[in-house]
Amino acid sequence: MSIAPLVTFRVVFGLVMFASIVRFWLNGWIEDQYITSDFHFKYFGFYWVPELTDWGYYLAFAIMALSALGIALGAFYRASALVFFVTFTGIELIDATYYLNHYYFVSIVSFLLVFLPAHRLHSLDVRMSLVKAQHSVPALSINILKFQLGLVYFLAGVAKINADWLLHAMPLAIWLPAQDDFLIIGSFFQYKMTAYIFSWSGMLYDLFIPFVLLTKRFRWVGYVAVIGFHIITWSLFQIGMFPFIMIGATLIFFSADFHQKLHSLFGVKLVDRSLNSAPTHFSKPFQLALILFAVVQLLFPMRHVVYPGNLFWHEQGYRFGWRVMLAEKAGYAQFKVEDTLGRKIYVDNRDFLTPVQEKMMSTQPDFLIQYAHFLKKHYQNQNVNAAAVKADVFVTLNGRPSAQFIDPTVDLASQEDGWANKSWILPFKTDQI
Amino acid sequence: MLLASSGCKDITPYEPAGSSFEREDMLRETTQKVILPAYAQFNADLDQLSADFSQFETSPNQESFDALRNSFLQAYQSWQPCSPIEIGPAAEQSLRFSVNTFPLDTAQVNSNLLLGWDNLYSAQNNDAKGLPALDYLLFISDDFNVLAQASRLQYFKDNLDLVTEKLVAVNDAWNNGYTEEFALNTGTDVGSSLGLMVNELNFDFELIKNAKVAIPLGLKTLGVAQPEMVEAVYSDASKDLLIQNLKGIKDLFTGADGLGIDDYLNSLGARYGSENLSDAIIARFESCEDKANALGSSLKSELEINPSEVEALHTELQNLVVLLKTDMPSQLGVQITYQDNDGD
Repeated sequence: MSIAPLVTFRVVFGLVMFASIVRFWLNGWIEDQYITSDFHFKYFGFYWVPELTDWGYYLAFAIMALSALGIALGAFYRASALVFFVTFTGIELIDATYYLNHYYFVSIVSFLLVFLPAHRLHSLDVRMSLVKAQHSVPALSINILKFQLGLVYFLAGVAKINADWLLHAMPLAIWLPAQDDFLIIGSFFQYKMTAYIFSWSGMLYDLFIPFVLLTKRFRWVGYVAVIGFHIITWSLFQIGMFPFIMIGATLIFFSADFHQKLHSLFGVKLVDRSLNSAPTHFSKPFQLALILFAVVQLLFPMRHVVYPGNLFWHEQGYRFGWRVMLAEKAGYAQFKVEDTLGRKIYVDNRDFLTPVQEKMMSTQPDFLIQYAHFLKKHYQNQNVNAAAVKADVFVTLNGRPSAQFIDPTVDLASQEDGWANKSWILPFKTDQI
Repeated sequence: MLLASSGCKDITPYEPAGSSFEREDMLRETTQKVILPAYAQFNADLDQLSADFSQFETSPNQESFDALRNSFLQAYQSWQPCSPIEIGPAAEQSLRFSVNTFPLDTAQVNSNLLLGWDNLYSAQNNDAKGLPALDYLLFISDDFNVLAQASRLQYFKDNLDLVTEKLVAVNDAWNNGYTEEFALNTGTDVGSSLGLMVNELNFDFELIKNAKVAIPLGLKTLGVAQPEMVEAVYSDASKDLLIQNLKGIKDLFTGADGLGIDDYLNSLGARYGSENLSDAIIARFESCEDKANALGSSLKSELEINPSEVEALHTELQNLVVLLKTDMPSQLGVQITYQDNDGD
């Protein structure tokens, strides 16, 4: 198969990543997210990822930005992809507060790129004769990216098949009226019907767009829909660079001819097709590894089925599942540290957490545990005989009245973070919205 | 997959989710009915305080001293509704921080009185200025001759000037363009006027809950009460100030008799169980006010003799903060950060 789509993918991905990093830096978010607070929430299994010094974060972002350019230019490509994957993922693993599905997507894609021969044409590596030019690549190297992209859409669509989204148009029925000064169509946002139309069309779009993009006949229609969908969501919601990543990445569905023409638009000469003849294949073990990867990607987002109760309420198995824009959730947590005599200290979260950390902590059970452990240690260091840490937590989900989220009598500091079901999360009250 | 477990009943897709409510109208009315009057009242009371101070300076006697104390208490009360409006010009001026940072660092004040001071804005004077400093100077002794000492008069004057200067800067900014900027900033992101109101209202409310009640009650010190940590500890006016603060936050929520956040919530159809969310919030404000009114003559003495009354107030404050921090912002769809999100 022609290498052309893979080359486009490499260049677009690298450039969008570079732009994302510059934007992140200029917005002051390195400081806001990593330096302002000494405390960071962790992912279970990744507590070991080292936190950096203040300048260490800036250095990591600088290296990340350079390696993104390295990917785009195909310069020391495999090393660049590896460095990008490690720095990007490492930074994400430092504070789970800032988890975004599209960060997870970027980690997965950059991991795949390490192994894909995207630098074998139109790259500095070829120019510098570090690798030989190659005009065709194993079909699997392009198909695995199509699969990953399609999976993101499809599972995002599956996640929308729930009562809140389809029958109550939640949370869009809350979010759209808040945007009613939006250009031209904003005045329709006050009507609940509009939220229903957006909800249902969003669900259908996500479910079917991968298949539409796979067909030759409707591909262009699909791509126009991709652009329209992402531009609208980008203008309405604070979702950052995600739309541009997807608009760029879905180009991979187009044919080799399309990509060769695209390259020629940028002055890159058409590929000599005579070089295109030799079919290439990945080794059998690598093919197997990719297939295994695909199976894991398919199953891992579904792990929530093993937990009882409502996923959007308890959020066990929620992350890494392509569940985006599905919940309007807010919480309030009053922690109490008890000493051995049962005397209490009421915690003011603002003493320890940034507003975003506080918001995320108040609705996510694993964060409640981590924070409780932190508080116990903190007060023990203050010579308080901290024995137990309990919390009154109230959460509202998709417009329902706030309700008590966890058992207020449970000592959270004696709970361990992990994948086991957290039985102290109180049952979801299915009040009518 | 969750369709089967749907507990939904009536679907009314044609019902407007947010009728034709104009956020701009709400912002304009809140400005005219709540924000500008709060600043105007505080301004007027500071003028009176300043006049009474001049009077005391020229003729220090019991009568002018009493008048000065009274106008100070009046000004401290009318500051309270300004406290939650840490928006735009007030945020730029760090108004709340300059005017009312407590508890007062009396050691620093005494050292200033003894050795002099260059600049009340310097970091060492962070906790030694503003209304709490005036509270100290006026009420540390009932003998007016103490305040009549030159260094104390000067410290009083400098602090009064600082507070007045800050307020005038804020007031001027509102009257010279910010009113319009505020009214036209109709979005719902964190920097929008509604976003600022919601976040600052919450911030100030948590200051009441934590700084004005929880800390004196001993909730940060294993239950050991710290009555000396109350606001206005020397004049012992903390109870009335707290009530005025609560009322100010409530007014910022209701827009007084104009359009407010409560009306906006109603137009969105925001419910809290079987009632309107706005009604639930107002009811809890009233419970807080009831508990505050039920305190004896002063918060400090109540902490010493009847702390359970203060605990009851704290419980009501907790009940309200849940609605203000979860249900209200959630139903309004306001953001708390500029950072990217993917909707949880």
